[in-house]
Amino acid sequence: MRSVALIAWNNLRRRKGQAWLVGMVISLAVLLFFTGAGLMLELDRPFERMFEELDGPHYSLTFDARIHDPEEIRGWWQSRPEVLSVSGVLPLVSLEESAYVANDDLSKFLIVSERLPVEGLDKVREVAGDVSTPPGPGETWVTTAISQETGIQVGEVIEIPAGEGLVPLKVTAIVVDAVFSAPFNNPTRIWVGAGELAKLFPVRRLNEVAISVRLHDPATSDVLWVEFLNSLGGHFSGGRFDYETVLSGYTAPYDLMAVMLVAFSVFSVLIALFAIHGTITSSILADFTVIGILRVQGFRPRDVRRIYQLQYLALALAAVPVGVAGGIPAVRQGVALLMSTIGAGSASEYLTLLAIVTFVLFIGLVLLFVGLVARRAEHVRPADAIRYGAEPESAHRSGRISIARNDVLPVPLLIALKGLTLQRRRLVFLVLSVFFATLAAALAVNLDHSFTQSRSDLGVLGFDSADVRVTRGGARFGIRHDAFMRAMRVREDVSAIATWDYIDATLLRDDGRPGDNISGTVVAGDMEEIGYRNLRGRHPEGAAEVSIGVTTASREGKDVGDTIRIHLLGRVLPLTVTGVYQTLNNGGNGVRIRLDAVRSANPLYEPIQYGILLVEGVDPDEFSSQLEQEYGEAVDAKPGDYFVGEIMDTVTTGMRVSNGFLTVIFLAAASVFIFNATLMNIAENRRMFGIFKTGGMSPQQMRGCIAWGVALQALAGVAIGLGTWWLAGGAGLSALFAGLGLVAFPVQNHLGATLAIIPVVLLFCIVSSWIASNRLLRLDPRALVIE
Amino acid sequence: MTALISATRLDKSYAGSDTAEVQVLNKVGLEVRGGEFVSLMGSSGSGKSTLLYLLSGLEKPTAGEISFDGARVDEMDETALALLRRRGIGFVFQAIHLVPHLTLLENIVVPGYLIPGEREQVRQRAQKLLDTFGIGDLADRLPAQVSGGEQQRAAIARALINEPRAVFADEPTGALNSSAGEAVLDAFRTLNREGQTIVMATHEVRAACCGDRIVYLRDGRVIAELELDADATVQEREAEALRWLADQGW
Repeated sequence: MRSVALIAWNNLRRRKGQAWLVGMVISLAVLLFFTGAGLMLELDRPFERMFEELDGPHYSLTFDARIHDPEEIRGWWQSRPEVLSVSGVLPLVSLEESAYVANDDLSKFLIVSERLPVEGLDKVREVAGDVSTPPGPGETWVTTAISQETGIQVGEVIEIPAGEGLVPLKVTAIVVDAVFSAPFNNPTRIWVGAGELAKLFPVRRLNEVAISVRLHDPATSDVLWVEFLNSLGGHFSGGRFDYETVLSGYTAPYDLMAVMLVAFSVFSVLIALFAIHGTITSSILADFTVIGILRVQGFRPRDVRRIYQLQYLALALAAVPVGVAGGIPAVRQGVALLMSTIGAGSASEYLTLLAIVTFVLFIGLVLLFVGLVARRAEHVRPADAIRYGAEPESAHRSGRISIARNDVLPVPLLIALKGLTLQRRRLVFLVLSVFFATLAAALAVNLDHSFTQSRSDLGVLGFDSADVRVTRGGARFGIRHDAFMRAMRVREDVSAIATWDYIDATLLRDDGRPGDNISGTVVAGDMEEIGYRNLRGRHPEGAAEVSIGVTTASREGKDVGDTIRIHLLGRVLPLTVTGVYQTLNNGGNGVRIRLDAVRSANPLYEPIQYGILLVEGVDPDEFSSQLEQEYGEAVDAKPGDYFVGEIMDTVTTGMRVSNGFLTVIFLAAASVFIFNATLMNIAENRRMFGIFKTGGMSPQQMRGCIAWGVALQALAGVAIGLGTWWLAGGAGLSALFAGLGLVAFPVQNHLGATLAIIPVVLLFCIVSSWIASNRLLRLDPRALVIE
Repeated sequence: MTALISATRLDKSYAGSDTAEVQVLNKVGLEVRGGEFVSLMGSSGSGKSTLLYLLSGLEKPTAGEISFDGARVDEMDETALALLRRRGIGFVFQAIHLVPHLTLLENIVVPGYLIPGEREQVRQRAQKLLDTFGIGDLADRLPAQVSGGEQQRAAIARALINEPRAVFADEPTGALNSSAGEAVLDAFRTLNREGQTIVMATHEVRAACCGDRIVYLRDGRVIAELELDADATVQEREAEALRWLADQGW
């Protein structure tokens, strides 16, 4: 064993560069795995602690007190033994226009709630300011979500769109609000003093209330909710924030990041294993004679294998702790990002255990894999090894191309062509590695292009394609819906106009199941022209028609021609489905309901949101300024992508980063593979290259034999990759985005960028091979001599 | 006649274990005239293969000068050496070293195709060489599908494909049985009669006697040279060489 250890140590010292490379690859895989797994394990903890400390509600219900009796609702929940406590009835107003901090509009809508003197379920944690007494007149408490976005401090002012226009409120405290501090949930909440709402808003807006419910066991929430809906006859006309929604509002992006890290760590592990495979195989080929000598000296085959196992065990013992050591601060940093809105907590409950598991897992994996790969060394025959210094050569005919009868192609290319079929497994792996790199690059380039293109035509994503988005408002100098529509339609610079107000409804079922809350878009005007599209069927045309989202259609088993019943504004409406559409909005859930239908439930309903498509050549900013000058406070005009722009930016940036990273990972994997494959190729064909060198082949021509081979295989991989993308990219993206509501992904291929992948990937592959083929320059024809 | 190959005060040493250097050749001088057939003889480790490699430009000397057809081989860079090996030199190995997955014809034409020109002419030349050596009908066979002697004759054909000024052969009959070896030696004799310069390292007296001159090496030095009688029979030449070698302590 001592002699095995000595040789293993000597191997490590001889190949320092290789050892560093493999060690770094192992460290990187461990780092990604540990960070991803650590984040997955630790992310929920600070939230759960905060939720417990603040007696966070498992349900926060908001509804119109004219539709549901608040005391009845409250009484139902209080009567249930599963319920721990129920809050009082909190008056609130949901704002439909932007609030401002230092003249910048807030990206979140606000719920303005009154802070009752008695602290019940809706406890808050003070981060800055004073919460010992509720806010006074003209004062407010804002959540950490707002302070994080705007940087607002205690003593500064937030302006909210109240009944008389923008009203300034002085911030007296910044608080952690269990439900509304989530950075990725919209809306968020601000608190005002008891009785303040009546001073800020007209009486007609003081109908909304909130009730919070905390359960003994959150696991009972689904069953309770069904019973609650049944108690209301199957439908609840209001909004709800449940525990899972709130949790995902805090952690979803980090969870996604953690899952991606773990997924990338799988790729990294594959790369690490591949690097180990390549280095061991090339080491065995390079050390053929040495292995033969060791065998002659009495080493058993398994001793030879143990040399490699010991060598890589030492590497892993050094590399794994490095990865873990890098992962611990990465996890802590990730959790700290989350905690910036939660305000307290720490991460490290599971990190020690995870460190031990990671260590054992990776060491075991490396040992097992090295044991498998190094079996090749067991099969070395001492006599052949010492005599030839290489494996016995194969004698099968390679390829159908005849060098002798070819009058055109250069000799290195001919040699490469002949050699292609000699290592079929390596050829398949190389083509596959380039195929995946190409596919990842095509995905990165074209997905980015598709989303960028969709910014100018949001209709492809299920929204409308409006150039300008207008919110009708103004209590004193307002304009009515019909008048506004007429006014827009006579303008020469307006091409089309349609409403897009959101309205909550309940989709009723006929099979005894309780109804399901559903978000509807109230449409009136030029639906087709503004960019609304259907996957099948047509737009609704009257009060008795509706089109439904693709997810709603598949979940409810409804299609064009079927009838659905929805509970809307206190009335049940039977509607015929005329179309099915896809949309990113609400994951493909929802309905597009005509204004006529909504007015059949409530004749006083007035839409306030409009999308306007301008005549070609009209500048949207100029148009918006004109409109605001013309109508004053009665309209608020924004760019067409105002409400989805930020989300789209986040999504596009996220995808750009993740797909770019994915492409780099796959390119790196292909590069490592090609580098090692080239080294193995040289080691295996040392004698052949020696013969060619003796026959007058120049160093560049010899390297050309290798480079041509790699280029041909890479070209095949690129061609298959791009062909696959062209044929199946759209279908793949549709499958990928189906869960988000896009079952027919509007893929837009960028021809130039896609074609640019070909030279980039090829260059990457050829350079990897060219660098590795440098070893050919050191080839000594003396290897051909038998002394 | 002027020398085609000229070596002056050639030294060659290799790095041994730790600091010690192994001196393989020591102040060797040799001249080979155009059309001459020179045999290098000596015991194992005497330096004959190393001398062959230095003369043919496959290795560089530690010190000394080598000229081939007037050009300094020891001063050439890798590209110049590749061109020299491509056009001026053919090499035949003891272990034959045909590329196993190429046919005999392909093995032969590859060095020919490295020189820009009509490939059809190279093919015709290769086929003619194969016919000359009696293996014309084996052109499309792989090396593993023919005998050792046939492989070695194909290897000689490969060495000759670019009509080199000199052919270097390192123990060309060492891996062959006697009849196959004889066929190879016949091939060399025929080539030499047609004016081909040949330098051959061998430890077989019978092979060495195919040449015009035997150069005897011991411990990296040229000890003695023997000019063989061109008019003598093979047996007479062998007998003379054996007596001479005995005098050298062989």
